[in-house]
This record gives sequence, structure tokens and C-alpha cells, in this order.
Amino acid sequence: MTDTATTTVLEGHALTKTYGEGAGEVRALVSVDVAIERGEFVAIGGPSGSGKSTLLHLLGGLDEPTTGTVVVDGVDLASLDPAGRAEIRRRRLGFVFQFFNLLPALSAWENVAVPRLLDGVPLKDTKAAAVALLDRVGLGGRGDHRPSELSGGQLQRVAVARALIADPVLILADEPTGNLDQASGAEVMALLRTEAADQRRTLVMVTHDDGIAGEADRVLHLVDGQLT
Amino acid sequence: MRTTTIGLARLALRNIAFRPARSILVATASVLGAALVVATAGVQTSMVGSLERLDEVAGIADIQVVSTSDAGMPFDVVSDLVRVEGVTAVAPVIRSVGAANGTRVLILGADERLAAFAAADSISADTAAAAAALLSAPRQDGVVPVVVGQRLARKLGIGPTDELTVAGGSARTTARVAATVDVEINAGNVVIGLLDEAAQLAGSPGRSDEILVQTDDGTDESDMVAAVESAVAHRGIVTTSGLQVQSVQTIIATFVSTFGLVALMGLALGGFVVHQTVRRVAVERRREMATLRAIGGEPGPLVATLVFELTAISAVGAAVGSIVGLALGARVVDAVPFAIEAALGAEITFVPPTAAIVGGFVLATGTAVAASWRSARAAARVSPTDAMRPADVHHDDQGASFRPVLLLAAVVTVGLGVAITVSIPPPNRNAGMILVVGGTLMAIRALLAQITTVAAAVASRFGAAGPVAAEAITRAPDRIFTTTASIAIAVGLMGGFLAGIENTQRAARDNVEALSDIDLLLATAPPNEIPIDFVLADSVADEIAAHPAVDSVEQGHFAATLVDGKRVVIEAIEGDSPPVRQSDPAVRDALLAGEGVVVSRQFDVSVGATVGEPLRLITPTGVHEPIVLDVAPITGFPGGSLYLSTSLFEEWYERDGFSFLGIRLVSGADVASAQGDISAMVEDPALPIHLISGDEQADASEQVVLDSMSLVLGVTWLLLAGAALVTLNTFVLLVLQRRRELGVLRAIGASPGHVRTMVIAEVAGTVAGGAIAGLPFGALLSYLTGFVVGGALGFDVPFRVQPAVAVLSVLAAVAVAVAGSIVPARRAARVPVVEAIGYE
Repeated sequence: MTDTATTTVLEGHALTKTYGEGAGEVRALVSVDVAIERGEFVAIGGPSGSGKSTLLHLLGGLDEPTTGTVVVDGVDLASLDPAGRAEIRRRRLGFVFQFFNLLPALSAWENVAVPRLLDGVPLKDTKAAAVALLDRVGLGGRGDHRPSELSGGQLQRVAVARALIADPVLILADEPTGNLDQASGAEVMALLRTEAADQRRTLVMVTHDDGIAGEADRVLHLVDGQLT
Repeated sequence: MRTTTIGLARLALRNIAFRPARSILVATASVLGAALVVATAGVQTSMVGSLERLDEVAGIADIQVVSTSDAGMPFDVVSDLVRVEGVTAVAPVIRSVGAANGTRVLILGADERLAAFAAADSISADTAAAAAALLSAPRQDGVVPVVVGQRLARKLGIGPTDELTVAGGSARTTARVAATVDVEINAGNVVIGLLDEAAQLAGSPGRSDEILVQTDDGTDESDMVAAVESAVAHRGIVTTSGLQVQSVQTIIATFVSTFGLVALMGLALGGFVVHQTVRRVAVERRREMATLRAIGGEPGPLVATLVFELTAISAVGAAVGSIVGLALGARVVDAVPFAIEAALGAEITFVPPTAAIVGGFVLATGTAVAASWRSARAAARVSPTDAMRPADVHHDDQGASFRPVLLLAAVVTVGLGVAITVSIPPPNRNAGMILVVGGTLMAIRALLAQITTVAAAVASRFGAAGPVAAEAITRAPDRIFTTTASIAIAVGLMGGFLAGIENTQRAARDNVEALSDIDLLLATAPPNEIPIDFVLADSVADEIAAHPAVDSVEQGHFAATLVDGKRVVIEAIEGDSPPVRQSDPAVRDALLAGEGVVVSRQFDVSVGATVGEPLRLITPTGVHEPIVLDVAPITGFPGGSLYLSTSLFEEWYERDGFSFLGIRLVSGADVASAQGDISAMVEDPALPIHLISGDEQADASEQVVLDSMSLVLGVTWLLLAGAALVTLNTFVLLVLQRRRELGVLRAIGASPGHVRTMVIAEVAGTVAGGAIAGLPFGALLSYLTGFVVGGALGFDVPFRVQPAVAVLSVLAAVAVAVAGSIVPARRAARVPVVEAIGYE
């Protein structure tokens, strides 16, 4: 399936997400349909509160839609229990967060290896792969540094390496440059694009930055929870 | 899954090492909990173990016959027992308390008949050599050869061939050391002689204290006990084994329960602190958990990881706590008041509580597991979407609304705790105290909205920083619960215990005040002991009565005896003696007229007694069944005291002489001069004879109570130190967790001084909230402490409010909270702003 040139790797059908009940009900997403192809770079844009992050959460299996379905690499998330969804996140998706979310007790290479640890592989068994990935993202020689010893741009590079360790088909990023200066942000974006393009990975990114959105193959623009 | 969990467990260990300060804070609570469990158990096992050593000599006897009182049993009981069908061996034994050169010792004696009870391979070469020396020693000039324990020999500075004076009952005998022997019994303070000679040393020639009986293997135990009882015919008490421990179990239970009251509070405190600390740590790790969830971690292994991490820390704390507990237990055993040792009839040495070390470890660690499980589950079930949120956004998930159902449950729980404490008989009253602590915590949770309002109002008064502090309090009810509950418990424990002990002290003084009425008191034991072991001749009393400064004398007797298998003390009184003044005058008149007996409350606890009902006393003159006239609140023997008239006692127990003499001087007599004259009259180098004033006796009797309390007081201070430490922990932990928040305040314009003032304002608000909850809790605890301790000691402890203690408790809480907050806040305020608000 993943070898097909124009395979759809991520689909959302009639996605609706509602928070609260009655008078306090908030409709974060209203009947959103998306289909994203392998190797595509899709940006999700829109004003604050438009439902960008909610859509990313649903597409990444971090949250469940009130109605609608999400299919990741041919697997309907609704058919999975929480453990099954966790496995999808662990093995087929890579996440990059705005605030890096590295574990402070671990070194850079160990942070990269954590997804494999969650899969039952001891950290040391993933060290070579993790160090190689750090080399690839430009952090060769920084593998033993703790997060507190790295700059913001370096932290996000470690986070990108972590997202790549399981060789995912999809990278989901939530404002990955939102917490970085312009130069660091540009470097991280270049890194993400390269890593996605070289391996024909799909990159889905929430961003406020029109410049970044302009680099995307396609922009999904949300307003009040609906695609425009 | 298993591999994942192991990998995550390693990650947990990394986290422990990564946050050493926090790990130490979490471990502290387990140290406290385990230390108190092990120390309490150590005190108990030491008491029981030391007593069991006394039973070792009888350990291989199938049946044991013991004397009904310190008068002993005639040797002819032995010949009656030999004739019982099924009895294969009988050995009379002397085991009596005496004095050697004025030092209290255990006098032991036996003859060749004891050999039937000891396997040849169980006798050490040292013991065999000592026995041979005893047998071969020359008997001349009325000097009795003896073997003495090596510890006693060292204490007295004597060795083989040296002479010593042994006092037992009314006898004074010169003895010569034939050998010394290394024995554990009575910590080596023993004098051992052959049966007849040991009986002579003990002041009861021709009588034995115990008879060991061996029966045929094929006989039925209950049948044999019945046959032996029939042969003994009430001249002794028949038992199967473990008499020493059984006979004083109430004393042990009383002592341990009083000590245990504080230990239980320590456990409750430790449990609460473990729970709260673990909870705070789990909340702090929420974002980390969310990240792991987002990148594919499953809740199960994540819960296990966090539980493992916190349990591992607690386990280390529990292990350290066990060691601390052993040291503490040994210290407490060293400090056991002599009155308690005298009551038990054995010197108490520390016996490590092997099972309790494991138990304390498991209990403290188990508390951490239980506490961390729920918190870890909540943390690991966090939505993975939380990983997308900024670092400083997290939920304080406990609302501060008024919770009437919880309040009702709290009131019911406290009420149940109070009901249990006041209704069940001592010495187990402290069981209800745990419910009181638990109910108080529930009440604080139920009234959190109101407590938070007060705390915020107090905090808002601190200048420009006040409103910020008030907002911080209002918006973090969960944190406020942790801090106010810690303060409330610290204030409550300190105020409650100190006021309770103060009230007990006053009540003890009131109880013994009547002793001051007597001008002089003559006794054969120091004023802090009960003179049960030696008797002075009637002629001594007559001689004293003839002194021109003496108006009258009142003889008293003390005797140790077994009633229903329990060791109690009989006190025989006459005239206007102070005891039993707490009873109705009519009761006292009936007592002095020989119409019945009065017993102490401790007697009721130990043996059981009902006013108006007869009590069965086995005496040397047969069985007597006097009516119980009253169960009185008297400070007496810890195992129970029984009061009867001197005439009745002398008749039933065939006792001449006296062990206690109350002396009233003529009006205007020179007390010091009379005391000097009388001291010269009764001087006896072999005996610890004491002549003191009534005031001194009252002071000494009060001191006995205070000595018992001093252990509780000592452990209370330890507990308070623990409470202070864990309160300190709580505040340190909370400030550490808010480092980023404080950094943000700095970033937006707050000066370091502003941040410090804000922390102080929060502390002041929290202490105010904690004090509001803690003071009523402390008052209730004080009332119940008086009830528990008074119940254990056998007298009423009236409740009195102690305002000074309340103020002191609140001030101490303020000091601890400030110390716990200011130092980390100062450090946080000094940290570069950029570093403080860093995301990782």
C-alpha cells in the first residue's frame, strides 16, 4: 500500500468535534473532510481558535472526534482501542511539538530513542540509530547533552530526530517554529522538509506563519471550525 | 510489554537521580513512618523478649506451678506432686527478687532435680563449671556459697571467694562467691544458689517460688493440669507455659499503647505526607506523561513507571527509617523507667524486632504504592493533547467548592473515632485516633473553599504583592489543601499532644497529692518503686513509734501476687493512710473494717472487677473471695493494685512485719531532727531503706508518671520534628514546582523582593487557614490524648484549654512554613529570569 505513488495516507471524513454541552457547547470542528497523499506537505492555517490544533489532534489520534472517522495509512482509528491507537502513534506517526517536550532527565540521544523504548527496545539498543539521526539533523557530537544544555533550535532538532526514529509515514507538527527565532525556525523548517521529501514522508503542520504556509504543497484554511 | 516496563523502570531510576532534592523529600515521609513502626515494635519485642528469657528456665516443663504470692509454696507441695499419676519429674525452683550489697538482683535456686528438665547438650561448659564450683564449695560459719552473674560481679566489684550480703524478704544472709557465670537472664543481675540455700537467701526457707512438672508423653494435657491443680490444692497457681509474659501482658500493652499512640499519629502523618508529596510529583510530571502518551506510550506501563519510581524512593526511605527506628527503639528501651522494669520483674534490654523491620518496610513502601497508584493513574491518563499545551498550563483538578456530603462523612468519621476512643476499654483506645485524623483531613477538604477564602484574605493584606498572592491561593485549591492540611496536622499534633500531656501531668499531681499529708515515709525501696520485696520487723515500727517526736505510725504492706494469672500488687493499709481517698468515705470505712477490697482501674483492665461482686484470691491460707467495694482512679502498680486492710492481709498472707510505714510527727516537732534519728534506727547496709517526707514521696510518685510520660513526650517531640520536616518538605516542593511561575513574575516586572513578599503572604494565608483547621483538631486531640493516657495510667485527666500551647503551636507552624518557603523562594528569585522561564 505505501509503495503506491499517489496513496492517500491520511483521511478525515466528516470530522466534528464538540466540547461541552447545552448552552456551553463549543463546536471546534464542523464536518471537516480531508485527504492527504503520501509525500505531500500540508499546512493547516487559520486564525486563533479556528480549530487548527483540534484537527491535528484528531488526525494524529491524540483525541477522538465527536463524529466522523480518521484513517491513518489505511487503518480506521475508530476501530482501534486506546492501545491500538498508541501503537499507531508510536510506529507510523512522528510528532513535533511547539514546546519541544523533551524529557529533562535524558540526554539528547536518549530522548531520540524514547519512542523505541516505548516499543520495548532498550535505550542502548537504539543508540546507534539515535546518534545517526542526530548527525542527520546537525547535532553530531551533542548526543550526550541534556536538554538544559541545548538552545531552542537545537532542542527542536532533537524533537525532529525523535519524530523520525520510528521511520514514520507521517510527521505531524504543531507550530514547530512558533517558539524559535527566525533563523532557527528556518533551519528547522528546512530540516523537516528535507526529511519528509527524502523519504517521501507526509508532513502535516499547523502554522500561523504565512511564509511557511506558502512553502506547503497545500494549505487547509480553517475558520470557525470549517474549511474554507 | 514486559520489556517496555523494564526499560521505563530504568527511566524511572534516571528520574530519581535527576531530581535528588525531590527524591529526598519524598523519601523523608517513608523514613518517618518506618522509623516509628520499627521503634514501637522494638519496644514491645524487647519487653516480651526480656520476659521470655525469664521463662526459658521453665520452657521445657510441661506444667509450671507458681506461688500465689511472694511468700512462696511449702516444699511438701513437691512431694504431693510426685505422687500424681503421669508426672515423671518435679523440680522446685527459687526465683525471687532480692538485694545483693544493696543492688536489686534475681535470686535463683534449684537442686539436682532440675537436671531432668535440661538436655545435657544444652548446658554450656561455663555453666557446668559454675554448678560444680557451687556444689563443691565449703559450707562453713553459716556463709552460703553462690554463683553470681558476671554483670553483677562487675557492678559490685566482686569475684570468687569474695563475700556479699544478700537480702530477701526479711532475711539478711552472708554469701560467698563460688564462681561467676555469663547469663542473659535479668541481664546477668542474678545470684544463684542450691535450692535450700537460695530459699534461705530469699527469706523464705522451706518454700519454693515455682515448681516445674514434667508429665508422661502419653497423657492428656488438660487432664494432667486438673490432676496437678487437685494436688496443689490452691497452694499455688497451675499454668502450662509463658507465665511471665502472660502475667504482665496488660502492663506491656499499656506501655506500648501509650507509646504507640504517638507512633500511630506518626504513621497517619507519614501516610498523608507520602500521599500528598507523591500527588504533587505526579501533577508535576503531567506534561511529561502527556508527551509520552502523544508519541505512543500506553497508560499501563507509564503508570507502572511512575509508581515504580516513587516506590523505589519510598523503599530507600523505609530502609533508612528502619535503621533509624532500631536506634530510636534501643534509645527508648534504655530509657524505660525503672518503675516499669520493676513492675515487669525483669530488666529490659533491646531485642531487635525482626518481623517489624520487614513490616515497617512493607507498610511504609505499601503506603507509597497505594498513594502513588491513584496519582500515577491520573497523571498517566492525561490526554496526549496536553503535550501540545504550553508548559505552564496545567489543571489544578480539585475544585474548591463546598462539599456537604464530604463534610457529613467527615463529621461521622470524627464522631466514630471519638466514640471508639471514649468507649472501648484501655489500653486499646488509640484505635479511634486514626479515624479522628482521617476525618479532620476530610473536613479540611470539604471546607476548602472557606479555608481558601480566609487564606486569600490574609494574604491580600501584604502590600502590593498581597493581591497576587491572594490570587495564587484562590486559583490553586489543590495546593492549598496540601499546605493547609500539613499546617493543620502540625498545629493539631503539637497543640494536642503538648496540651494533653500538660493536662495529664496536672492530673497525676492531683492524684498523688494526698501523700503530702504524711510527715515521713519509711520504705524498703526507693520512692519511685513499690517496696514489695523486703519486709521490716514489727519491732522497728514499735521502736520508731516510741520516739518522742512521733505521734503515730501506720504500717503498710505491699505484696506481688497473681490474680487470675495476672501480676498485680496488693497494698494493705490501715488508719488514715493516703491511698483510696478517691473513694467514698463509706467505702474506705468498709475497706478498713475488712468488709471487702478496692481495686485500681488498671486492675480492672488487667484482671477485670465488678463492684459488689466477689473477687477470687488464692492466698497461702487458701482461697478467699472478698467483695469489690470500688474500682478507683488511683495511680498504682501498672498491672493493677488491690487494696485491703492490714489485718486482713496479715491473716490471709501470713505476713509479719511491714514494707511501708507512714509516720506522723507530734505538732511542732523538728522534722529534720526526727528524720535523722529514725534513719539511724533503721540503717541496714544490705537493704535500700529510704526515709523521706510525704512531699518527697508525692514528688517521686508524680515523677513515676512523668517518667512514663517522658517517653511519650520524647517521641512526641520526635513526631513534631517529623511533622515540621514534612511540612518543610511540602513548602519546599511547592516552591520548587513554581519556579517557572515565579520566573514569569520576575520577567513581567516583579522584583526579587516582590517575589519574596508574595511567598511570605501566601505562607501567612496558608498558616491562617491551617491554624483555623488545626486548633479545633488540636483541642479534640488534647481531650482524647488525656483520655487515652489517663485510661492507660488509671486515673481521670480533666480537659483544660491551654492557650499558651495553642499560640506556641501556631508560631511553630509559622516558623516551619516560613523556613520551608523563604529559602527556596529566595533562591528562585535569584535565578536568572531567562533560565527560570526556560521550557525544558
